[in-house]
Amino acid sequence: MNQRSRALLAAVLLPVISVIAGFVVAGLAVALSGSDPWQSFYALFQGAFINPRALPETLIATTPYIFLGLGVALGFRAGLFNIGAEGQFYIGALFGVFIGYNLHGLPAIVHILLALLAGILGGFLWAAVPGILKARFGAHEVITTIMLNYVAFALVNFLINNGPMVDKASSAPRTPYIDPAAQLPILASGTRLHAGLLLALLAIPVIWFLLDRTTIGFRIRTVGFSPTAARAAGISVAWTLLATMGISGGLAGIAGADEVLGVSHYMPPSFSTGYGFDAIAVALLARSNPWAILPAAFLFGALSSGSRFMQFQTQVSADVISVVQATVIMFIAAPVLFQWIFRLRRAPAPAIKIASETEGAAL
Amino acid sequence: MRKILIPLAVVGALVLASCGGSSGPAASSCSKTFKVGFVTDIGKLGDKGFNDAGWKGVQDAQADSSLCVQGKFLESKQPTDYTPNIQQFVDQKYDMVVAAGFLLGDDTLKAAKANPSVKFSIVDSADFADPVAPTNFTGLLFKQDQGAFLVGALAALLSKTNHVGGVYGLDVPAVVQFRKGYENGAKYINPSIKVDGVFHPAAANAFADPDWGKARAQDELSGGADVIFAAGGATGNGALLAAKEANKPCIGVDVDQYLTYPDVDPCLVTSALKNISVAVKSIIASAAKGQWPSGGVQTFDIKNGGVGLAPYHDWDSKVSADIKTKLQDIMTKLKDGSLSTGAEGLTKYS
Amino acid sequence: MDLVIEWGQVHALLGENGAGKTTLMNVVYGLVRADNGEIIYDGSPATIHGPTDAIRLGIGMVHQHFMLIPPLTVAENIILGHETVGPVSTVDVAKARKQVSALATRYQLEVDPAARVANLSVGMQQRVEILKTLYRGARLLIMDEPTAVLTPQEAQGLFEILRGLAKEGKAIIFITHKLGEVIDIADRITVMRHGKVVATTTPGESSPADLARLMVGRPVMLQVNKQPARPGKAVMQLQHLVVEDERRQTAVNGVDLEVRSGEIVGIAGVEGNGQNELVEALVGLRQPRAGTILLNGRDVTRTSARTFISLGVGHIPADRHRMGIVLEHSIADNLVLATYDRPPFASGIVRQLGAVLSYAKKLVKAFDIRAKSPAQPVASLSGGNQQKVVAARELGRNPKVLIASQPTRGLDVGSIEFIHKQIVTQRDAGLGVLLVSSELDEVLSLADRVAVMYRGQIVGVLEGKDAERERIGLMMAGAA
Repeated sequence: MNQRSRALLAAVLLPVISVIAGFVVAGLAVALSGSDPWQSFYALFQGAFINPRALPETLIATTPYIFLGLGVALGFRAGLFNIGAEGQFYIGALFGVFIGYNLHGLPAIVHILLALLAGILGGFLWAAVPGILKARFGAHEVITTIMLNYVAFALVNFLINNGPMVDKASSAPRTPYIDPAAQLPILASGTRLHAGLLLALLAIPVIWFLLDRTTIGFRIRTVGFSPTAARAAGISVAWTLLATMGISGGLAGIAGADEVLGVSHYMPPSFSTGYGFDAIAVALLARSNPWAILPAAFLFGALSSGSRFMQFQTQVSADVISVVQATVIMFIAAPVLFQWIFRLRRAPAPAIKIASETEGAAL
Repeated sequence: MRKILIPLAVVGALVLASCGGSSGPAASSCSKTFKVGFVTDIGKLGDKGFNDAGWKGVQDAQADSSLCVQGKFLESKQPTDYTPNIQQFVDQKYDMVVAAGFLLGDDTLKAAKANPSVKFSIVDSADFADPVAPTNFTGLLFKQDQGAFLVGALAALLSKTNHVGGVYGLDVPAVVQFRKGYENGAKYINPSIKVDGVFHPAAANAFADPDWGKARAQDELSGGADVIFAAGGATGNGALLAAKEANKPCIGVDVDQYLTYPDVDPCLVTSALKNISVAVKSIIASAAKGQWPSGGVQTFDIKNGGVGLAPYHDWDSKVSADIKTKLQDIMTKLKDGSLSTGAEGLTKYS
Repeated sequence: MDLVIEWGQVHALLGENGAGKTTLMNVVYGLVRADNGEIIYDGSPATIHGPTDAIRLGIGMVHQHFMLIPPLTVAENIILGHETVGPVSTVDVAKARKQVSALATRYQLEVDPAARVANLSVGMQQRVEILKTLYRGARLLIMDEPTAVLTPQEAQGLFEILRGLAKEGKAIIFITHKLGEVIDIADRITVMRHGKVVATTTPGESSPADLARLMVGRPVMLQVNKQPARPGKAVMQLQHLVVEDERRQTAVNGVDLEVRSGEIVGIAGVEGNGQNELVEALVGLRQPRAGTILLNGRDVTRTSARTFISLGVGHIPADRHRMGIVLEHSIADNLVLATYDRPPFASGIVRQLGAVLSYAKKLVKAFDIRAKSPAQPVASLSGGNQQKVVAARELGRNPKVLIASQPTRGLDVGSIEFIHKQIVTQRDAGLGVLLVSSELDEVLSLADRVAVMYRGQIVGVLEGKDAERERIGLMMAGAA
């Protein structure tokens, strides 16, 4: 097998096989729980693409995956494992909803922009904390971002659950509704599909350009490949890590704000149950390539929205979908398994490198 | 073979997780089925609370062949699922949607306004922004304070130390009414009685924190309280366990916990019932029979059996006839309205 | 490939890096399985599935990096895994020491069995390694690049030992890429190239130039051709420089040195005497604890690597893969690794890939980098071409001073020749060069002045014409 076809195999075939393997395993699970896998997956397909409102709902679910997947992927490119996307998503939503319901009388475009910028700022600040801890003290971002997730959940709980941001007029614990001017416009009437999708689609080339065509992106990739060589070339590794973490958090933050402005229009304490974690799988599936985020996010969006109709038809627990996702992650995260199965001698370039230390060959 | 070991482990875990409720078709003698969709909150099925009780109501309605009901559920993974889950049933031409709990209040009301031909009902919420509810909307409310008042009185009658305790979930209105009702009931028997009580401080696991519940109950017991009332899902269960271990009487909530939580049977005197499944079945029956109530709210109280006391079971012989008479008397007065709990419709604890 | 080793001989295995020497020996030692072919050992076919088999057959290997446990004593290290167990399952240390002593005396490998390995010099540690193999009954000894870490004197001592062992009837395989050593020590020489044996000869039959030609496959200039230096003003001055290592131990201890434009200052020394820390300080990667670094008279002591780069300090790092190149980047990106954000390679934050590519094409040509395209990943190049990329990048931005640390380590003769020529050419054009190398030959052939470093200090500076091997060797060992 030559270099090119092997690279192609690694980039396209492996993710596809991972997804198929995920479905096979999930199909087994469905069968064991007493339903027909074919019927279930057909329902999944209908629920994701065919039924009334199915495609718009899939696209709605795709939107946060795009933002978050881009954010996590960007971190990967710098060698950072940002597990804090979920927390940054929460804080972004918190900042966004705060601007959303506190300001009134602004033109829609101004209000929306302000709220989205607030979301970016929230995610940025929340990610900057582990960024600084990493850059300044070398604290591992996996630990700090995980911990900050819990801080974010607790903070949101405190603020929205009978705290200062609760809607006193409602019996449910949630913030007030955002001003109508802050709501993202609906793209297709009769659906919930909102303009956030366009922003997410715009973010893909922007992040691609940032990574591939700017000096910042070059710094990020260089640090990701080899922090030691980057340092020797006069690149500030600390600054680069901090900036990457910030941008990654900003993307998670805009995802949160976008969800508030486009979908819920208010924020409850348990706002998301795992978008930020799923996004790690999205980034892995896309091998941290910004363009590949789109199909990966679309897949996860389809799984998420299609699972509704699948449950409706089969009355099987929605956790089956989680198994598909988990299996995909597992098969992606274990490339060694695939090399073994397909007798690939050479490892494809790893998607993540936490500490890239290539020793000189001693011969 | 090694390569399939891991996936199989996942499958095994899943099968355990996915065994849940399923629904059979409605009785075949029906000319037309009445289709009911049930949407959970983010607690999902298996919570032994709101969601399970509500779904049981749907299943009970389905089991009643005269109603010709066919029910299906959708679980919500996150709050942004509420609207599309409701919409899913609407799109599939369902006749009625039942929402489990006040967290779905806004989304249910909105859907009701947008789809006047579909009936909507929601447990524990009657939160309509306009003064008048849409005609296709009925909130199911419970006078949980009445049941709590009764068990409060019972606790005071059982206490030898003149000191009783309570452990609660989140301070949402229903739980606030439980607490206040319990406290007022105890004081109705003995104005000088000391009543402890504590709400769980966090939202995420307020009803799912048995360790916390147990520790608080132990605090109260060591402070001198000798009866524990627990109203907070799994959190409350922890408190019941503490009472059982301390060999002190305890009182459950919502359902007859003698049946649902056998671990604490030795200490469980009774439970302050809140018959969500009865209420859900009742509203489905009304809808299926074309007897949809007007006014947007149905209240379930001690008079219509929506709230009350569970059987004493093992404690039947230990609760004196005198106590039983006194409770019967309170029940009568609550029913005819000559006695008020002082906690009716309360939304904030003070 | 065929290779015949006779008992009682030192057999040198000569070849460039990547010629397959070490791989071949790993097969013999059982670390790597051969695809086909067989090993005839002592007259009969041998199956060697792992080091255990090899040791059982009497094959011992001394690796380039020693496999010793520093906190243990010499005797403990030697008997490790083959302990003589005394009563109550205790290790009989006294007996072990006695055995080790006897062995050491017999082979004239004097070493104190009770000394801790951590306190021994590198040369002594090597003796321990040899003793270890002998203790295990080795009759065939494989030595992988054994002189890389030794001073010239230590290397001579090693040769004495090896000759003695050969006289005892042992066979020794001596892996190296250094021509001089081969002539010194070997009874027979096998030259390898691209995984094949290209010749088997003896020192008497072949001159160093012949061997070099066999190794590379074409005639090679062994001597660097250069004119006498015409030094100008000082471009880099170090005053009382003190630098600490990672463990905050003083590694460079009060170094005064000056590099003038148009000269090559060589730093000779056994590895680990503070050279790495010195180099890192001189390129801004390590903050000195005390002292001053002046660049063209300007104090840059507490600035960043970026400042050093922008003020014209070039750096060829010792560890190419860790610090010199980014394997995953293209050749072009590696060539602008330090200048990616300056015009014409970027305007604002937007990179100008066209400018990068045309610049890269120019350098690829000028530095004879053998690549299909500047866009291919640098990982796909050979080590020599990778090093040319580093040299091209650093010299291509016209530095005032070049800090070159082990610039030819691990390279084939052809690449060494090319890089040496580039350094000399740039010197002639006015570049000041500080050359750090543990290969004394390299320092001697390139440097106009030689500074010898020992335990963090410059123990002497010799003009090129006074720099004799012997004298420098003694200074490297701290004996002068």
